[in-house]
Amino acid sequence: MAETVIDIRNLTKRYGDLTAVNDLSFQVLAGEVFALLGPNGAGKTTTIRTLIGILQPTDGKASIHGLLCGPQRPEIMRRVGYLPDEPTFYDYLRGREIIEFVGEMHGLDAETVARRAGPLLQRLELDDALGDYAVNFSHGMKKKLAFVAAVLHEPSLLILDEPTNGLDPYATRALHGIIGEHARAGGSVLLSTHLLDQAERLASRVGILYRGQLAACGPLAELRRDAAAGGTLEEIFFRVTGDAAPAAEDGGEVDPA
Amino acid sequence: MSPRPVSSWRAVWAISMLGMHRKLNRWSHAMRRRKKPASPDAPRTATPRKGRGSKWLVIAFLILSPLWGLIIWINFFGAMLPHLETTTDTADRMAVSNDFYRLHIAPDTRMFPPAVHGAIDASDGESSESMTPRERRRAYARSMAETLRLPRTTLNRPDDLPSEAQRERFIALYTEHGPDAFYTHESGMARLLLGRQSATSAGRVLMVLAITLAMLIVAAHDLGEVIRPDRGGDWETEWLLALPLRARGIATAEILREGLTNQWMLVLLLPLSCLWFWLLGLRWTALPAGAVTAVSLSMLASAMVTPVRLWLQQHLPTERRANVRAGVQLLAMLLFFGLIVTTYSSVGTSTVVEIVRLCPTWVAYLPWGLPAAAGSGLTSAWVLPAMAAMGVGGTVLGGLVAGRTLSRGLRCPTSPRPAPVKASAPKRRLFGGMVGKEMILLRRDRGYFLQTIVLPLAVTAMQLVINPALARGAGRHIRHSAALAYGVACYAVLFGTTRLLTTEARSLWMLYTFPRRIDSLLRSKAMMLAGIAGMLAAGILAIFVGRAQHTALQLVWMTVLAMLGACIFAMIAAGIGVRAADPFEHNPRRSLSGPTMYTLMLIAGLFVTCFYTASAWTQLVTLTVFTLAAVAIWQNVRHAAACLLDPTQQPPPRLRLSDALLTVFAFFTIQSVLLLIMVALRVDLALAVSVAYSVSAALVAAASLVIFTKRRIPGLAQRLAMVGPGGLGRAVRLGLGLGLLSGAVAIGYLVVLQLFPALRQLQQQAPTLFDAAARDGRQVWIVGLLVVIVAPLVEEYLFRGLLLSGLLRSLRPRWAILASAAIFAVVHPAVSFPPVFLLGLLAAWGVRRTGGLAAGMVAHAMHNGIAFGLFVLFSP
Repeated sequence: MAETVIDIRNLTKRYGDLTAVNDLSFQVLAGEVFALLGPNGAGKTTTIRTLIGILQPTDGKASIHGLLCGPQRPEIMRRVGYLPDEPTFYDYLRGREIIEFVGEMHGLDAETVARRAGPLLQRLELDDALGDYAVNFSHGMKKKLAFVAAVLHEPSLLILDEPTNGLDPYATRALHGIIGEHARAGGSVLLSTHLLDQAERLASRVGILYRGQLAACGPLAELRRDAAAGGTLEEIFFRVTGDAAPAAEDGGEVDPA
Repeated sequence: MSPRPVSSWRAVWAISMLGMHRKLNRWSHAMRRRKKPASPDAPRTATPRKGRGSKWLVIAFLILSPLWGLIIWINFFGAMLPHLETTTDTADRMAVSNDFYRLHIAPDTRMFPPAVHGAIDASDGESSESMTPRERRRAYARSMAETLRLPRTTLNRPDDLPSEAQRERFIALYTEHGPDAFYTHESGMARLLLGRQSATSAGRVLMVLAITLAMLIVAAHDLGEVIRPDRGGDWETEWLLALPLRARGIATAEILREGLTNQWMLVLLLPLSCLWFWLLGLRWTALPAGAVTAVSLSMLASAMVTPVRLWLQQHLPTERRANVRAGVQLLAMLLFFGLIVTTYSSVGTSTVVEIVRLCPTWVAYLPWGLPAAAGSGLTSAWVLPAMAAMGVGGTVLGGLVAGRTLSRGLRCPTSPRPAPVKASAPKRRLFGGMVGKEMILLRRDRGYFLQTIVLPLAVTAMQLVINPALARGAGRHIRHSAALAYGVACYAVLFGTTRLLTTEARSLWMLYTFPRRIDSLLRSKAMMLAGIAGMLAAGILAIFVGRAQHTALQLVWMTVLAMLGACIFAMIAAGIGVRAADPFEHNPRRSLSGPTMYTLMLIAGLFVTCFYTASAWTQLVTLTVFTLAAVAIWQNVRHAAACLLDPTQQPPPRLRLSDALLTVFAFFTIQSVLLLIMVALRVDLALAVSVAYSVSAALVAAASLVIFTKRRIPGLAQRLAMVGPGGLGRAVRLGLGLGLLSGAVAIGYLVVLQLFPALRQLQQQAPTLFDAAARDGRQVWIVGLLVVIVAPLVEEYLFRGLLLSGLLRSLRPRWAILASAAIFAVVHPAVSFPPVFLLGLLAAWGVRRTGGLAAGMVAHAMHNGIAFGLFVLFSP
């Protein structure tokens, strides 16, 4: 049995009267790529931010490597890389300076930072833009920069919020490759996405979040077996998130012939 | 068939309505008290934010800002118009009036010869011998007011004497023209408010100058919108461009919005126009007339600036635009200060008067000078429609011009990209991490640099120009120089420190990904600013050192105090800034409330005691209290840091150092107030002290316990337990032992004290409660009860219960015990420092050891009992 990396137990997060995450429990094991799926506002980002310690749980608890998320965040962040949904950077700092700054904050010397960041930046085709102010970067470029910054300290766990959102196909392919390599090397990944094909391609296990609760969870094969017909992730997704007739939306205007 | 694009007028209307809706939403959000509870089945909505009501601030701003502007303009015209509208020989009047203006602030008895002021004759004779200087000054003030028909005269500085020549010129003018030859600042203002001003051509030119100045400030504010930190950049215009609207419609709507919502229109243009029409005799209709004029002028300014702004938005990348904004804001600030300077300094007044004289008359016929034309004998009947037409016409024209710019798109297509830099060996920088990053930002972000360093220094320099006496005073003694240096340093870093959190802005999430605590990251930034503050204080002090009187020791000590004070204040301001700022508000101007800033300035003022007190002990106590406050505030920051980016979660309740400090302060304050009342009622001192102490102790202990219990602090009972797990017997035994030890040392200390005359003198200087008791045998029992029973109970609760627990949250046990003992000793008289410090150490150790306050209380009672017993036995 592989080691439990992320352990979420009965996690509840309320914003005032609004319950964003409701009694959520799941585990992510070492070497696993776990995809958190769900419609907008399902609580994916709230769950991830609670893991990072940006949000405090209203009830229940979340831990990473046995360390409690929130109070033990500094220790956790030594082993976790985090890519937010919409990364933003300081105005007036160039891309390179942001990478250097992040490296310094992780206690890495400049040579190590250059050695680790160089190949990644090349692979994501960001190395040309590093001299620009990051505030002028496009959304995709910011996302790439944030990804490089997130893996600089070689974390064993990657927590990625919509990782390929805003990336071009080349960068998406490169990022998928990096995520796969990370998992094969024994690291774990928790990613949130609403791209079903991405989850299908990358994830060893899938959790479908709906209204703050886990509507379905398990390896893709298992979910397929449970689904009555067809067996695509899309159908499972629409079934558990309460939409009975997904075909009506797609197929409404398409000629049945 | 595709629908036809909407007309520009409809677009302007729709966009303006949208802007108004946004404003209303913002206000109603500020005013809303509670949200309706949503039912669990309600559709999921956006995450709410921690609300902060600012209703009263909005209303106060709307009412107070025009009033403030009115005062500024009344002073302005009051200072200038009398110079310009004269009937007697102008050149002579100018010469004397400027002298007189200064003299009337500091007139002297030698100002008037006896022939001029009849009422003073008597006092200059033999009766003046019997008058006090204060009475003499009053008599002269009265006589001057009567002679010159002044509404009010102030005589506050008798040491600024007029020259012989000034006096002679004054007397000659008085003989020739009588009181009409003179006026004062006040009389000008009074004439403005009470009488009607006929608009001469000079007055019209002055009005045009005033309008120009106000328009420049308004326009600078409009241009400052070239980057909008609170609106996430240019999305708004970008979004409007995505709609099927004509570019000129969007541009016109932008002009309308900026013109109508410019706050400087409210502060400067509105009161200026109203005042002008009032002076022309319009009375209450001056208000609507002024409003129409102000709006038209603001629209005109917006129409002239918006095309430029849109052009800049199109051609400059974001970071350059931010620097343009910073420069423009500085310009506006300097113009505004210039307005104030011209009003309050005689040099400024005469400069403006000269400019008005040199201006050709056609200046009065400039387009924006139209309101001034209303005073040229024509009625205002045609001026107002003309103004309104000009505002509308300007808007339309500006919309056409700006629309042409806008139709070419918004963003600059590519920001100039530097040539790719070859991979080289990474540079070694002096500062790394947070400080290094902040240094880069401070260097590159002109806005940040201006606000943090340049503007405070510019404001201070301006103060020195307006009020040269300030510089002279600061140069007189090293204490004044040190106080000024401290004040300027504090003021200089106030912006940077209070905006510690908001300058992180949207990048705050990055700090959460680092393996360090958020508060320690923020603290390293605060320490950098504290360092800047300390160096600034030293630098400013160095300017005055050459001129100020001082000894070498004073110089060193005052420099240390000024630097330390500025550093500690910077830390306090930074901590309070982090706690008070709203991390979700990205506009630094809106992130912190005015009251917080005033509180900070008040706190800064408290430290100034240090520079003026003669007692080193008071300085030490002040330093200690300031340091403690800084530690306590940063402890609060640490507790709150976890919930900083959580929109709804509040930090869990804890027993904090700030609670302990507030309780201790409350105890001493209530005690002092009670003591003062009882002394005033002539209650016996020993009884008064005992009652004040006991009542204050009971009140504070009960209130604090109720408050802590209501806050549901977890582990409260355990922290404030009387008896720990070791049991009562062990605690009492340990306490007795510690008390005996500490008492024995106290006896030894008393013996040593008697051996050294200097120390004995110190002891005699501090009048103690014991002395009061010695005077009356009956009071021995009262004082004994207080010293042996009440004091140990209260002080152990405060110092070992609350303070030590609070300190233990931030410091290691060893240091927390040392610090609590030091604070305990500092609140006692200086002479008793060594034994009280030891008692503090032992009691704290005993409390930690047994886990209950009983050990400390027994030790404290034992120590006090021994000291008091000795006193009773050996007192004469």
